[in-house]
Amino acid sequence: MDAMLETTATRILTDHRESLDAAWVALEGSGLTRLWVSEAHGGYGMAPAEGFGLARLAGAHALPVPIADTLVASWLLSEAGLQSPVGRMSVLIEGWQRGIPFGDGADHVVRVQGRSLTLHRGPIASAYAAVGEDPLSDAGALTGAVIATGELHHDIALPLAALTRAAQMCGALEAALTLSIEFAGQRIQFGRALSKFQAIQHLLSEMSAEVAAASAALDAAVATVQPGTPLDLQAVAVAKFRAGLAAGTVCEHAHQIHGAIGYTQEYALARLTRRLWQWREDFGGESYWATELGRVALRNQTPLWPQLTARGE
Amino acid sequence: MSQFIFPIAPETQEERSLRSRVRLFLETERAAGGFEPAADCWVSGVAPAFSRKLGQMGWIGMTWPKAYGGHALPTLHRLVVTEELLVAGAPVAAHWIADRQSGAQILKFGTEQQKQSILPRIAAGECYTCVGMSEPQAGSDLAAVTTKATKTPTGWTLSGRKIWSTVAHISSYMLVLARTSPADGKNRHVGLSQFLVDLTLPGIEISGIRDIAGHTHFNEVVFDDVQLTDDALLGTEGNGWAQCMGELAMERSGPERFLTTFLLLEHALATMPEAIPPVIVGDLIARLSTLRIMSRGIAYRLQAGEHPDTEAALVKQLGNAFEKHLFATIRGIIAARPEAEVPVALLRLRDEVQLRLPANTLRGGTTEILRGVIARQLGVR
Repeated sequence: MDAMLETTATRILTDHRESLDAAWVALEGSGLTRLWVSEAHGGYGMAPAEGFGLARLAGAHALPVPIADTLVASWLLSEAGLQSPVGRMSVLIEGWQRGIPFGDGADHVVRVQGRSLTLHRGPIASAYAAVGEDPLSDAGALTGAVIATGELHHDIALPLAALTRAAQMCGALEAALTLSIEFAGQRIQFGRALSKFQAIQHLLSEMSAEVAAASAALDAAVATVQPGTPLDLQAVAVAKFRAGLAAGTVCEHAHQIHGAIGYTQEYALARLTRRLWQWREDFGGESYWATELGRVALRNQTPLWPQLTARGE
Repeated sequence: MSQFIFPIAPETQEERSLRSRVRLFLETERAAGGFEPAADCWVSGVAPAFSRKLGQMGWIGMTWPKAYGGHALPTLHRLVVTEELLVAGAPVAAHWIADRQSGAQILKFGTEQQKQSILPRIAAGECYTCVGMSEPQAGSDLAAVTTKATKTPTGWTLSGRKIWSTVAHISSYMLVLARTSPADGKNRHVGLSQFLVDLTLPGIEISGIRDIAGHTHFNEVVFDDVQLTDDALLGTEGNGWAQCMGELAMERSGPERFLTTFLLLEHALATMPEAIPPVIVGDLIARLSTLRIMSRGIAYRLQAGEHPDTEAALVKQLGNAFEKHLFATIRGIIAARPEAEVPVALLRLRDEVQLRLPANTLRGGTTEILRGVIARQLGVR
């Protein structure tokens, strides 16, 4: 991610922890919410990697603001040749979700059905609690007026949303690892820091290996993304799968290291792990994306290796 | 932001065409009866004639300077070749260690005379080497080595024993880690030196050790007052620990740490594709693809002259875990049906892989040692 963008985003996400409205105003004021809006539509038309970098950063800071969802919505609108309205946005891919993330605070919702796109006014009432920290609104309650319609050129909604979640997850995974390392260094039991116990060191090692793997798979997928073209489904599948797999191990170990304090609402860990558990389910879990990969491989009826290397990873 | 760095290195056109050439060569060799594909081939498949052919193709010592018989090619080219050899199950064990680590050590620390006399022969697939680190009482605790080199007027006297040295029985040289002066109190890493030992010298006894399956690929090597010349000291006296750590990074960094069981998946897919659900195939593809991305990142950094030692340990650990996961997955699929319905060749391969599997998480650093290496990088150790 561009160093200046990263500095700006980090400052906003850190400074405005106490006021989410102020955080949102700052994010919008700095133009960060419009990174993926094309220049033709009054945005910045930044390289895809910048938006994924922002999603990752936002995932690490665990603020309940729909920055990633707004980015995805804006990309889809640009792709359909539509202007992105100001304000918080969310996405509903018909046939996929039961819940609209941050629906109760959304100014607009982009709804995708096949390749048809409609822009609805928010907010959507009937928020309900799920495994994640952020509110979901019942998809069936999206009845707001349609204010624009358009067509997508490619089936990009699902892979784009999935890859954005993978980016958020990588941020949250890193943050959970960092938090666990810090905690293990400070918490004294049996007269020494937890991090001095080999059993704990090995849990942290395993977590860091998972974080590194998820991160490498994400970077590789992000490198394949080009605006105006279909996403590389294989690369997206690998990234979302690997992030989901890492989330399982990292959340489990992080809670084990933290003990009871990590199981409280007040302590910072749950903000990360609850979102990781939600995000790994969003837009296709590990099994969905593995099945996609496996189907293609089996359909080709050739040895696997030439297929893997043909992709040029 | 990340603790560990794995740059994304997309495959170049040259790499693609190299891959095709290697693949064609291997298909031709295999069709002509040059080899039978085997699991764990970088340890199990000793075939000097095949190694010489690879040398003729220019696929040994690829990254070394041309002046020493190398080919001055990028590390990523070597990665392409090693991947293809491993996936084909080709018999590459004879030269593997010389190509992977000993050659690079000689290139970095050897005398001009050693480089000129040894490296071209390694690159030709004619000269093999082995690792001399572990001892009966020094396994994971490598700094506990007691093999001793004592200074003499003309060189050194070497005494002690090394163990688990793969391909020592066909090797010309061993890179020996020996104590040359006492440890400094609790710091046992000082006083160790590395030696390039000619295995034809008097006083050396090499005896094979049968592994769990009865194969003899590793050895015990005894040094009984072996007289070494001055130039046998590799690198700097007292710098042996650091040199060995650099060597281990090369030993750990390659695709042989995640591809040794891949043959089993291909075989199962070819013989009973209907038995393997897409979700299982995809799970393995996603894990393997990630390892390949990371492995390329390491090669890219090595190419840039960096030292991704911890990354190598990390990928070895993840890679070994993948090999076990792959085996457990395919084994589970086979175990769901009567053996009589499973092709015999697949059962044989399953058994061969099972017997070789325990070594993967031991050799080149156990999982536990690697986790310790990673923990140190995380700052908790």
